[in-house]
Amino acid sequence: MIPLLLQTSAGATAPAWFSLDTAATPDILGGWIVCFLTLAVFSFLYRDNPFYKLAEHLFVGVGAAWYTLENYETGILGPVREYIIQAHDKLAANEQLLAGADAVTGLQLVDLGGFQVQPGLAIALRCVALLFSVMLLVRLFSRDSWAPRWPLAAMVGIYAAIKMTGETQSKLVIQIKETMVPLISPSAVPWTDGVRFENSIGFSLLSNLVFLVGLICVLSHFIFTYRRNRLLGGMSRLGIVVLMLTFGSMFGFTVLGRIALLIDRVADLASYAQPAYSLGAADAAVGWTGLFASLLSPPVLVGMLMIVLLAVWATGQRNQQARAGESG
Amino acid sequence: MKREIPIFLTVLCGLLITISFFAPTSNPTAIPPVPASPWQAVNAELLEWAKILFAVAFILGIANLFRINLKQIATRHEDWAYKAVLLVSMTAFLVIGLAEIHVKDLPPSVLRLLVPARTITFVDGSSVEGYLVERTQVTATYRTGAGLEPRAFLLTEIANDTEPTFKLWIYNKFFVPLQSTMFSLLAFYVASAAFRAFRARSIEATLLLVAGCIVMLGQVPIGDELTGGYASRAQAFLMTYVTKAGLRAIIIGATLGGLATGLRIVLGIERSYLSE
Amino acid sequence: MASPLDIDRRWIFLAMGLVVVVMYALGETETIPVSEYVQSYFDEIESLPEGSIVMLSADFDPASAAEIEPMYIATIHHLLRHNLRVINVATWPAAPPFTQKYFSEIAPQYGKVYGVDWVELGYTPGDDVAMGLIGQSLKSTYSTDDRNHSPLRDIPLLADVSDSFRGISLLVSASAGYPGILEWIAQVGGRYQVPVICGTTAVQTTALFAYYPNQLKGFLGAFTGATQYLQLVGEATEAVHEERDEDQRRMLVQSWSHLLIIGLIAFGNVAYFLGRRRATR
Repeated sequence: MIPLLLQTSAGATAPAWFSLDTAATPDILGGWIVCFLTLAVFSFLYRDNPFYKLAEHLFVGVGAAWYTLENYETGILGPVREYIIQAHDKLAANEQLLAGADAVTGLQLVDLGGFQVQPGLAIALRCVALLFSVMLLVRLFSRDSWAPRWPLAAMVGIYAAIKMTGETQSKLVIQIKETMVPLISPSAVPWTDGVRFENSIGFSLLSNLVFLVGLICVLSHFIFTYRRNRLLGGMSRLGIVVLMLTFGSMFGFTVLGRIALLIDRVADLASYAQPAYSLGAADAAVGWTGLFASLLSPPVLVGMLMIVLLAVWATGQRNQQARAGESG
Repeated sequence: MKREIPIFLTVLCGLLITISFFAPTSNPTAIPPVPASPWQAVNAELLEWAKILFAVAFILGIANLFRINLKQIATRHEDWAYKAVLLVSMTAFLVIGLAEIHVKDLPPSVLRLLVPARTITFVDGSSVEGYLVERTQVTATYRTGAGLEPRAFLLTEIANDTEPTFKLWIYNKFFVPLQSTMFSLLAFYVASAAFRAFRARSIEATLLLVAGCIVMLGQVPIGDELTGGYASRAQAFLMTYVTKAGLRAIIIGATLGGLATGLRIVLGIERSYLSE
Repeated sequence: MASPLDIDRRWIFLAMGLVVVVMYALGETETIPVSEYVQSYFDEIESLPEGSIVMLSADFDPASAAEIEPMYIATIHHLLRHNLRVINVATWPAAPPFTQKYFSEIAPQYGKVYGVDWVELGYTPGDDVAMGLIGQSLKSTYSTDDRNHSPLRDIPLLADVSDSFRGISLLVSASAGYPGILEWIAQVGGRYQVPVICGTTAVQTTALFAYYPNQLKGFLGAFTGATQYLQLVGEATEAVHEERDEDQRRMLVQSWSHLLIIGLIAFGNVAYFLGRRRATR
């Protein structure tokens, strides 16, 4: 068991002060920035404060830009500009071919979902998308204009159809089909010495009954078009029990997931607590010298500085509120 | 006509996609081979339209973000300085990112200013700075020289090629820690809620808490150590039979509702998306 | 007398933070038994003949990377060690940098060549629409690859892939939510009869039990699934031992955090009921 702060940082390539190479060891400037931003977000746990606000607004700015860049490159440049340019090149090549030869062979076509179409048609169809895009952007200038409704209507129709056709099969038909299985699993065996209870016939029967009854009861809970008599009411109550157990297990997994995210952030901060990133000894230091160097490392130093500054800020805020209370 | 044309477009696009779903698709390995069908082209083109409009919606979103925040800065709204940080960071990242995307098209002076150059080292020991345009299995094309003209080199001539990128540096040093830390805050709120809000006030609430505790114990080794191995077995039974039953019922119910709504939209009966 | 329930929640935050920091600093590791779903995920990859083509979809972002990254890294190691050819796509815009980073680090360890053994096609927008397009025709969805911007016709690996997902033997999704594994199953898995496996976050794991084992051949549920899988892959791959040891170390922290949460629930309820009994007296 080696407490983290006393571990060596030997083995890793020494980080540069600043490096744009993603393959290199994370740079020192980047390490300080990561630690500052991480601790700035964590400072929200104390209360909303300027550090958090700065981090929050940076997040929105950088995040919005990233998402826009990715969607622009892959959703507009590729399918519109590159596609039309390539189709146009094929069209020009075909026109040259047609101008010279009698027979119409060797014409280049555009692959559209596995079916070959004429380049001219491909360009025309893609220009409709371009027109719809421009119509959508009209919304920036006029909220009440009719123009954005056309592309939105097309999108709604396309998404509704694709969801309907895809999900009906996987989430309805196959789900029902997989419910209709034998109550006793073919691989179940009599419960004897050496056989796990979970592999036995009795367990298989019991658990599949629990599943089937549970499923029917939950489905019956969602029947709102029939008067609840004693049978339906009873089944609905049992359905609620199954639902509560379901939601409870979802809650359990949610806790698992959220804590894993926190552990990852702590681990990331710990990775910058190595002497290589500290203001102190930059060489790999071990033992108590390493511990001292870690105290001057980004997470510790930034953390301490932030605590001091937040304390000063909070005191200022309290004094201001007290003064406002007195004068009011 | 204001309502009719959008409804017509919804119905047309929806029906075309639905019909394409049922149309046969090409299968050259079948006996006899199934040729490609025009419905494949119809389906693909409509999906491409949706993809393009999806991307354009982001441009709309970011333009809106600019407008709203500029207005708040101009009117000296509370926290206007932070809005300025938002806009500056967003603009700077957009400019840097667009420059890296348009390496092929930018004039040399702008390219040198905004995009870090690669250092291409050749097998003969010489090196040159340039910007990658395209790489195939045989050649790599870079913009090099004083005028940053595109030049192709054989891959066999190239020993090494660095890949500096400002865009990814900003992504790794700003976006990644910010987004991951924002979500990790939830761990603290889960702990707080566990103490202050999760009450076993009724049988249903008790069942929910018990199921949660079984899962929390069953997922970690310490659970089995404390319960003699029963935590993971109880959790496995809970997930495989009880939770599966509940979720399957929810999935079936939700899909029936989704199917009904989808049909209503595709047939032009549902018009709430026109938001008049 | 002030009730314990009136405690400032920041003390609870501090308790949570201390448990995580202290247990992580202790640095001990914990091995965990492998569950059936994880074993199925592993076996599904192992059963593929060498040279088969697998589509690996990165459907996550930094917010979910804590859970998905370990399984993603282990999957890349497993696929490449088993000499499978990989086509990587992404339906989340923040995912491609993870792919570029890990393939750059891992592929050279197995002597793999870009374009022959793996290709990164990058992000395509549209969510379900993107998956529908990829399923119908990969080559008309993308014009170039993401790493080298070369036309798809120049990439040898893609010569063995054609429309309707033909040529692809398995779809693996590293899925954090929407769009993700459920949409892949709907748009591609059932439609083109291709086996699907996935690694997913804790929040989405519960939904996957309804799809296992027919629509979903195996899955890695949450961080625990990732650790179990790393243990399996680590039996034959030394390169993942560091990642595996790190994850096993985090399992200990996870264990004690769970005990804290259960303790808080129990204490909160005891304090509540005692308080109620005192009030009714």
